[in-house]
Amino acid sequence: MGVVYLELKRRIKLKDEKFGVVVFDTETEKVFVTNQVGKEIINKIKEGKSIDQIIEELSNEYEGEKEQIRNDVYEFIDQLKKMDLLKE
Amino acid sequence: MQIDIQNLDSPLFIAWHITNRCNLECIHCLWKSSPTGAFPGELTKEEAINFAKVLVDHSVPYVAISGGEPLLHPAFWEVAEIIRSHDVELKIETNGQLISKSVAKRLAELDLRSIQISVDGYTPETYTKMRPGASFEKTINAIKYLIEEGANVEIVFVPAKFNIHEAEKLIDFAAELGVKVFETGKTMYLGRAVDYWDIIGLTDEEYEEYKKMLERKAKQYEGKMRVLYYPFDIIEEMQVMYRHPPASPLVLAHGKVKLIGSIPYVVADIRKHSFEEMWERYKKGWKHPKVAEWVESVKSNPKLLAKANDLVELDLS
Repeated sequence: MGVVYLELKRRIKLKDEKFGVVVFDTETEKVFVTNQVGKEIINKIKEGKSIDQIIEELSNEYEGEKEQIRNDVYEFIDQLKKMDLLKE
Repeated sequence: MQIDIQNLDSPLFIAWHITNRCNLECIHCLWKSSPTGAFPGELTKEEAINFAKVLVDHSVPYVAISGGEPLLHPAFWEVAEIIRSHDVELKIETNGQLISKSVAKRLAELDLRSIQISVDGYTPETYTKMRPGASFEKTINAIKYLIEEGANVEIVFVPAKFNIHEAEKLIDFAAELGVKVFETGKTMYLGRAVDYWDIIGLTDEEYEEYKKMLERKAKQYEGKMRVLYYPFDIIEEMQVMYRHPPASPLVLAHGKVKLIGSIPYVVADIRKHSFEEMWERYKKGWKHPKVAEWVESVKSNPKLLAKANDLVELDLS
């Protein structure tokens, strides 16, 4: 599998809050709330980083098994997909 | 996902009823808007522009401007331009009567989240029954012009005894035109609708049939046009919102701020309160015992809703 890049849908707005970030899909008027780590992943997606780059950077930032971090990132991305927040 | 507004530093959405003046006098109008229906003391052009600046300064993600007819407000274009130039999403709710080819072009250039146009019938006769004096042709042309210019158009359909039989044909027509969303729900017992309820109000059975048709249509147009049915009547909506308050203050044309349309209490005034104060008062307002009392009272006596537009200041001291 090649390098995978993700992109948030166009009319999605992010709002920083003390507890993390509110992801607001203004198209569907649905809201998704996530913590600081989720916020970091979303910001990295917005910066145009690939999934592998995101995993790499988070592995350097946080202690823990890289495999675990990989699983967590994919799980989070699955959540974003389920909420229909990512472009096809 | 539900969000607890008490944890939010500022609102996610502002519903801005920018003027109560309208070029029409629709029989279902929640606000009893009319050509002479402006609220006393509506925000001036300058005040409206300043409020738009406040919204973008506070990075409100999403604003919906309604009325009355919002295009009648003298600050409409400046307000819309300020909001969009700061990448805040904007929806305009209009009757479409004032949208000529050139207005459509200007609206499309704003790259709005959507322009929501009210169409309550498939034939001019039915449409004008809901909207006396309005031109069905102008509304349909407005939709066509906007779509030609690449704007996202949504249609909102208010069901009544005399138009529900035309809903299906209107949905097909909307899809043919390239409308993105067809939105409908239970008609609200509020404002002028109260006076016309005998020709507006539908039975539960009629709503059930209507819902089935909408589900069929939603499937038919999946991927092309979203067919949405707002599932709550006004009392259910109030109860749901009371349990999970939305992060969306309702700002009225004269600057008074309400929790939602169906609750009469005013919690703030943008002329008196800063944006931060307004938000804190809004959050506090939802917890006020009088709000709980109102929600309970309306449950046992729905006729009380006729008084929801009587603006009552809530003591939040």
